[in-house]
Amino acid sequence: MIGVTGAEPLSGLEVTRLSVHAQQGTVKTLLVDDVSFAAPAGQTVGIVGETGAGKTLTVRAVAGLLPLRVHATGHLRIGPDAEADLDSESAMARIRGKKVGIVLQNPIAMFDPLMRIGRQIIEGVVLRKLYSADRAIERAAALFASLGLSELVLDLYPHQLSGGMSQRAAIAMALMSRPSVLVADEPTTALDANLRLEVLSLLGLVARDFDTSVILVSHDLGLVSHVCDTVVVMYAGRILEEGPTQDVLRTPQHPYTAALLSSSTTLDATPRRRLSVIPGQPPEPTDWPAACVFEPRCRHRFDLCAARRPVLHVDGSHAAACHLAFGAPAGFREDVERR
Amino acid sequence: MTSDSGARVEVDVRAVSRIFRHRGGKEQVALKDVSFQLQAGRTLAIVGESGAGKSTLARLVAGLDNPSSGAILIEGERLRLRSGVPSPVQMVFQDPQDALDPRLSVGFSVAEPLRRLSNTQRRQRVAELMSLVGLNPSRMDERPGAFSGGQQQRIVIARALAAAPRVLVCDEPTSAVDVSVQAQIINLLLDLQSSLGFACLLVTHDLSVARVLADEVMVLRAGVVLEHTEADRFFGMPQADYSRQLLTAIRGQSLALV
Repeated sequence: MIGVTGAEPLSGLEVTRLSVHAQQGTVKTLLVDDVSFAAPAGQTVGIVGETGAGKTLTVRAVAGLLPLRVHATGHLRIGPDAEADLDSESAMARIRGKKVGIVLQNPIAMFDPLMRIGRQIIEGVVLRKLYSADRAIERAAALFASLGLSELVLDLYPHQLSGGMSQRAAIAMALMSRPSVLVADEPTTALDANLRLEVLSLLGLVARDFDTSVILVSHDLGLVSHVCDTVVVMYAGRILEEGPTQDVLRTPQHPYTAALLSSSTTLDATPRRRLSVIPGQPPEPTDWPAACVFEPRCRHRFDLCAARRPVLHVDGSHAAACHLAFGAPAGFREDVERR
Repeated sequence: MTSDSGARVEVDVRAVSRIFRHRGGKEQVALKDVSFQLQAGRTLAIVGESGAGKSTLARLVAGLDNPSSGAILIEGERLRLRSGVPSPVQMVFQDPQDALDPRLSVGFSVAEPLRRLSNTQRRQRVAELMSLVGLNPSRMDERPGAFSGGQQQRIVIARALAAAPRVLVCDEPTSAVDVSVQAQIINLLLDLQSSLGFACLLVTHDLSVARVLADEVMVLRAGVVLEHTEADRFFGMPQADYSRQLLTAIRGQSLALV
């Protein structure tokens, strides 16, 4: 849809040092801890993690849609011309709903049951005077066509749509303002298994055809593996591993990623045999370990893990925050031996 | 299904149909002539797309709805739900958040079926149940909001087990939780079933979950049983074309590894 962008490094989304904390009285709780990642235009990035890992807060911070009394710090850059400090409300107001579109888990819940789909889809852009009502309807119809929905759906009420249709309509609504970034937060969880792949491929298509950065938040590594170019694994508010999807899935460098993969159910599992699980539960934000956050549950932990916070070890485009990542990084053996 | 293994038949579903009548006389057949038996200690997975009638069947077995025709026998008798008497069929729902009253302490929720016990006995039993499902009993006075989704599902399971049910009906028990939590819940269900010996009716659209949990699989489509067979046979060589399609569709979606 959009031509080749000349300055490659400036395309897409770049998130730098994003942290999110909740403020309750004088108590500040860190919920996302210093997260940086990039989502190049035309690509799909998966953010994977368990409940409470901070993935939803991360993308909500990017979309400028954090709940009350939850604040973000850090920096956003979207394309060559849009930048914002996450703690600046005025800067985020220029991003919100324009540069970043969002699709939520339950598509039905995104729509007012008493309003026709078309009216709801154009409401936001018309209110913000991005389009006249007529132009907005034209755009909605064009978007519907490219997402495989009939124009007639615009005249329907939400209850008349199937799950797959309403998720398509929700994606169209998020794309109305031509956002550079489309955030999809668990977009398939409420859908039937046979529809999931369909909606996910649609997101991949959106990334390519609209030259959008798509961020797909999911707890399901399996689903992410199908559409995402890169994957970011989050746990306890931090990024533990990131890289090209196939690298991360085939040769996970963080024990957490490996454990997640091995605890997934597959059709080739032995019936009635216990699955391998990650013992314990993710820590509450109030007692995240200071060094490695996964250390208390890690099978490969050793003394360094509780003592020092692992940096993100990088190997090409693949990175992992583990002292054991990519074999033994420089300085690592000496550290062990010295102890 | 074979019942010659000698195990006790806990659930006996006989030619059950459920027809919903809409305004204007329109009829929707949710289940048509479904029959099966399920023995103690075994898990039957009911699989199929949404709208296949899986949840309707689960609700019928749990006594939350009545069949339009046919009969459902639990331990050889028709289920009669009476207020204050816990049912021998208990349910674990898909979304633990919906299944727990947010205003009540989780201990109170778990103790619901235990009204006949004294306060002290009840607290003790709740503590036992919470430990059984892997939760710290000292948290019984907290409300559901203080727990993660996986922990809430454990609480729902603890409540279901409080009444020592003969049959546990699990309607998509893991589809609202994380992958690693899913593994924990699956293991918990496997462990609890082998120690407590209840029959388990598992409703799922996720065949890989059925693969791990089920002894037998029943495929529903548009309210009709297409296939009911041992799990090994189902996953090895499904008989119905539709089952084969389901399996292929799911294989396409599982991890794109290697």
